[in-house]
Amino acid sequence: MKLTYLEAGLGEIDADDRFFQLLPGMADALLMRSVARLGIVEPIHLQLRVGEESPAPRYRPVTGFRRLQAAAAAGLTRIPAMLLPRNWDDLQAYRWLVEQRGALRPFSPLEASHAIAALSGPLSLSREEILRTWFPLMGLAPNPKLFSLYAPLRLLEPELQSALAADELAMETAGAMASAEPAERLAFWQLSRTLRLGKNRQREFWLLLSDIERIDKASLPQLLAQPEWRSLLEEQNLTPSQKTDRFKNLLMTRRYPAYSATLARFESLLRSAKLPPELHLRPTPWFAGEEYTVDFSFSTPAEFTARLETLQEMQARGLIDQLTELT
Amino acid sequence: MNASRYQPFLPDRLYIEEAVQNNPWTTRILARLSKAERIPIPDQQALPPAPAGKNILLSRQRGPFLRYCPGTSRHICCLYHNLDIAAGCDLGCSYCILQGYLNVPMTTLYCNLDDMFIELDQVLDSHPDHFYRIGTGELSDSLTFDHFTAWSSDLVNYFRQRRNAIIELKSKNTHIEHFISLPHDRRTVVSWSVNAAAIVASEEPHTPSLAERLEAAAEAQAAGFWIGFHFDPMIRHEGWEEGYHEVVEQIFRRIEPRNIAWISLGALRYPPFLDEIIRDNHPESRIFLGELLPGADHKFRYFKPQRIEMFARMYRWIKAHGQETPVYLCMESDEVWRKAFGWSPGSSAGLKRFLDERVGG
Repeated sequence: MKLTYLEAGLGEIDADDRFFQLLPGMADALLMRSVARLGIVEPIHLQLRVGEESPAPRYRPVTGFRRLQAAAAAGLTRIPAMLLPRNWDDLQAYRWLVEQRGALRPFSPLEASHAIAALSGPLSLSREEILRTWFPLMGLAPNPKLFSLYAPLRLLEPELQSALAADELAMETAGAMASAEPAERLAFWQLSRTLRLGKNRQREFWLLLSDIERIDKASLPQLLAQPEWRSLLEEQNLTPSQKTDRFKNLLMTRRYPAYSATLARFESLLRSAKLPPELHLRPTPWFAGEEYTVDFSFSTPAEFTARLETLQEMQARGLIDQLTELT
Repeated sequence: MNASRYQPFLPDRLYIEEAVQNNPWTTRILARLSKAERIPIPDQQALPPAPAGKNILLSRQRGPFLRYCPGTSRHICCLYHNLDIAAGCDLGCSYCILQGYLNVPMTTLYCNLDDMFIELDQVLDSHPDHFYRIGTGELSDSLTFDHFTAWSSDLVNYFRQRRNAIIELKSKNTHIEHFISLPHDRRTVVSWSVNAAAIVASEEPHTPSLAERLEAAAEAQAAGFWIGFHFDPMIRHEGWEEGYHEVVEQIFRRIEPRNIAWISLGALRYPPFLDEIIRDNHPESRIFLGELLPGADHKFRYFKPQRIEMFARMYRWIKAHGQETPVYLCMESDEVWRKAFGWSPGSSAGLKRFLDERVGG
């Protein structure tokens, strides 16, 4: 393989042709300043257009999309470039690109998503072929689940892609959001920012909300517009953490009504028992078993007697019977 | 009867491991699938990762065929033995546990049945006082490939001669043609997984209909086989009470209680990792929208009072047809047994005894 060095005129390069771009994005200020001061230091890679009636612009960019943008902003007219062999077709050029890029570090999920789109779209490769041949070139395991997870990510809005790239959005949540309607995912992202949800909470809330949407046959914007939900989210006197806890309670009540009713009944009985802070009474998680656990602390015989009397009083008032009937 | 929606599975491609290429059970399959492409491979490591189309791997079982059913911790299990002659299924039911358990990209049929029979002889002969209930329906459907394997005939013939074991062929399918005429000495239970009509339609779309399954069950009854039914998984859905009650009534219209070996009940349950798999593989399904919560064994199950309600009603509907039919719960606690049925076998050993006695163990 032989690459040819050349000084290419910017007007000869079709900067709008993004076929080879693995991760869409804009040149940042640092790169802009650097190119303005020093010019393009590392040559970009170009593919010669062949067999077309209107040959200008002559070249398609293969690498260096941000440098190209910075060069145009800096007013450069010619930039250093390496020309890929002219007998290479798009597939060979793409393979070279993926090998070069994959040799540095594994593809990010977003890069993989764009590569999958190019390979399965214009390059017409099968899922099986992409998994078997191209995923290892990207530094990825040939795992069909990864394929399914990554493929739709490029459909996310730029804001969500940025959040994913910045590790502010959980990968699994992003994958699930990518298959939702744009209005749904933007509504969720707004909610996530309002409540300042971490990645684990994002995933948990997305799942709960998706289920509630299907149970209630309502869209996420419709759910969030409900007066009770909206007033909680607009409440000014709660911290994001307090809002998050209360909002989760709303979601759990809607998603698991029978369990939530039992939990509410249990909490009501506990309130009625007026237990001192030194005495704790717990059911099994999710009321999966029929047992209750009691623990208490004491430091004097009088305190010990008082705790036992509290429990006996619960029994005398019928609260123990009511608790055991709950499970 | 309407034309069946079910299409018998016929593979496009057979990957054949070197170790079983000349095996008589392989030869039998090849003779019945003359149109399928044949690809010899040294072993399953040579399989492509995600081949398109309908594929079958003909393989050698390298581990034991016979294993205790894994059951689940802190629950009463029936101490069943699984006979793993196949792994994978073509029926594609939305709730199927196999979606998360198998790590081979296609259904595998273990063709070294000669080794299996030697293993069975060794195990059954060395424990003559132990009664074994054995089934092939754990990692696959017992009959769904039988139209081209005919392995049911080998199993019925083998267990006919055993006094301390019984084989259960557990299926949603109707391929009974290879064993229905064979002598069996009531050492075979032919059982069907059944579900409410709405669930069969929405969650088991590639299976024979309930009516077809019951027709096959009636034929097996007429041939003198023990019959079993498994309401597993029971799924709460709109109209579940009428749906399940109707299936019970249909069963007892066709099958006599004295011929029913057992009826099992199990509510939808699955390990946490399967939740995501079901959602991915069957996004149109609504089964994961139930009140499924982690249990003591960490599996998702319906909220306990809901399970008890389902089991109690089923028990009442079944027992309305007489006390003879044994009904048991699959993977439930002593507490749920007591609250749903009013009694409990108390332990896994107690449940084993209850079921063994029914079929002469």
